[in-house]
Amino acid sequence: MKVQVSRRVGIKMFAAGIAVTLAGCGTASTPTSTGGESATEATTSAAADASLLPAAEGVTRYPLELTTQWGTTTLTERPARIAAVTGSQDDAQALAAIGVTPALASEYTTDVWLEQALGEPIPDRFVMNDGTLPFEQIAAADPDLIIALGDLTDTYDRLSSIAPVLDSGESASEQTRATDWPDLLARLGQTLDLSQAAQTALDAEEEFFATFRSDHPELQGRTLSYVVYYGEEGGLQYHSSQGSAVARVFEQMGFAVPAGASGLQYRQEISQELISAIDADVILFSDNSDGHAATVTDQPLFQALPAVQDGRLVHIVNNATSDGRQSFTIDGQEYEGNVPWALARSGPLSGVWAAEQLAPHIVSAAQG
Amino acid sequence: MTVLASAAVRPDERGSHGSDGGRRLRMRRIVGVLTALAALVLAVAASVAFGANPLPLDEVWQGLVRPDASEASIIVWTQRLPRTLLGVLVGSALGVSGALIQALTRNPLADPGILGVNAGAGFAVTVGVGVFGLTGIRGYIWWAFLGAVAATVVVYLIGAASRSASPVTLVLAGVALGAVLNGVSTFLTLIDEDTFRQVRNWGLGSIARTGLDDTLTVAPFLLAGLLVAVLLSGSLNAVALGDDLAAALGTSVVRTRVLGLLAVTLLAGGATALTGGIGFVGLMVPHVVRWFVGPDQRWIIAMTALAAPVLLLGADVLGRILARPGEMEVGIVTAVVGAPVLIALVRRRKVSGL
Repeated sequence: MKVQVSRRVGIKMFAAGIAVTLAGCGTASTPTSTGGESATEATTSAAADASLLPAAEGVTRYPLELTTQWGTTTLTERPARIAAVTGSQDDAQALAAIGVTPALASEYTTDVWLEQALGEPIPDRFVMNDGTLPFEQIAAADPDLIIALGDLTDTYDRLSSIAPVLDSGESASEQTRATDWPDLLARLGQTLDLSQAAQTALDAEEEFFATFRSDHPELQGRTLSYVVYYGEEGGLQYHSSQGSAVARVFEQMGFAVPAGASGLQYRQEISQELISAIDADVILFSDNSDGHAATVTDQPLFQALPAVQDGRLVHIVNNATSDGRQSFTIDGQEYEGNVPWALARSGPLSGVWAAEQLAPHIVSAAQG
Repeated sequence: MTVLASAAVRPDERGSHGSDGGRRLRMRRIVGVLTALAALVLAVAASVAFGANPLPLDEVWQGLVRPDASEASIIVWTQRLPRTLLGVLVGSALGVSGALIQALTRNPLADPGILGVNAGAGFAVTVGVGVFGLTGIRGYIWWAFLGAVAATVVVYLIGAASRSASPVTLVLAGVALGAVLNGVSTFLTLIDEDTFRQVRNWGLGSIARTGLDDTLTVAPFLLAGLLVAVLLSGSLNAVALGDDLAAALGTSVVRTRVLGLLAVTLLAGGATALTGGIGFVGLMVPHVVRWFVGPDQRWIIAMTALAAPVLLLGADVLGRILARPGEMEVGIVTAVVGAPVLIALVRRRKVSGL
């Protein structure tokens, strides 16, 4: 028995060594074989699930302690089946960015950027029911690591009884978590022995926006407001507030938050009287109200906004419905995907995808 | 029980005070009316002057007297004035409908909701949204109005069909129907939360989202209701003595009750349709007013019409200022602001019967 295992390990070790060496050839001039012990251990468990994540980089040592404010669990070896149990899919996005396919992830909507990054469907999806996690489905997915972001006060004990749990670290609150995705990426990289992949994903995001900035010097330093109208229920909310994940996307494009909106919180409802606070060089208005946007846009105060008068407004109609249709309309033209959802997410993929979709419209609106 | 006792004691009390008491009551009424008028003027002024946008007062004044394309002027003319007009109308309507229903049912705890008005409106809107695909709060108005009217008619038919069409059967019928309708509405809402989220929000009660054109469409119903209430107030004094005594005094109890319910339906139904239903105004204001003007329904109704908008507008102004840069629905604020006032007054004064 023992002999058999070690022989198998030997073969896998050899294969892993080649993979690392090849990967090294592609990116660095001096390939170094860093297989070592960690890679050995990883391969033993990853036998059936090898396709779910890239080969180990050989930096992280296992066993690895995962400390959260709710408790500590230990990864005895490199995990292969990873359950991403956050409803927003921000954890699945971070995994996808470093080439890891989660064994289980939430299915809130179909995210184009996830599919593009993974190239294959996530094997198992779950649906959040009234904010309750499907613990049985999580257990059935047989994960060896669970990624759970945010406040785990009520869920940590049950999750950690299924598998070791990685949380969002210091930034457990919804607000800071949104902007700390580079931190999450780094944590995932370290935990899964894919630190280099995490850095590469971060660099790719930076590079995309750096290219956009150099292509559009005329937009640099101008202001942009992104607001979403949710109908009477949620009213008109300011999304691109200082420090929010969505503001980061527009900042990366070169835009600033207008002075009038500097005091607004993320998703703060704006009373009709205060609508002038959203005025900016470009206003992005997303209609998530099933066709009642005129309640806002017909208001004389909205019509009086300089950006609206000069035509520096991008009016997005979100056609997403709960039955899975994902599209949005700008200027009568329909496009695939859910841009407002992408902008509400935080991660290296959704921001880039949203920026790609909106860039032509923003550029032409900025010209007035 | 307590109420009955105090009502029974009342005539003796009044008798012992004699003409001195009558003069004092008259003085109190005059002071009360003047105070209510002054408070109403102040509340209207505050409603125009203060809002989510902290405009300087001189800008508000300039915008008011010289309408132009300035931000202040647009805010005053398209936001604050229509909203204030709606607040005054709806406040009066809710207050007077409360006074009417308390007099008709001889129940000091009655408010328009006790006849199933809110439940009927809410049910109709829920059905409209769920079955007929109604979307948008502005589409709710006629459904809400019809629902309120239908609920009152059904309550009256149930109450009148029983052998003793007493105020008690009326109240019981209203409470029972309201419970049934609310139960069905809640059931539907729980089945499909997404579809009915707007209905729930509508039920919070706000005077911010109704357009001037809608206000003007419903206004005739509210004004008709107020007129009926005023004309009826004399007969209500007789009904307060009990059905038999009222009949002996030459008042047609049935006619008074039918007309009274008609007025309540117009007032509370119209107000609920425009706002989504604002509680507490109809309960509290007639009580407070009664402490100042005594049990004469003519005074109670007139004073309530003046005083109720003060509570409503005051609460609305607070809701605009407290939750900047957003706003709080007036339906939430009226109870929060009104309840402590009512408790304080209850502790200070002897509760006056009907």
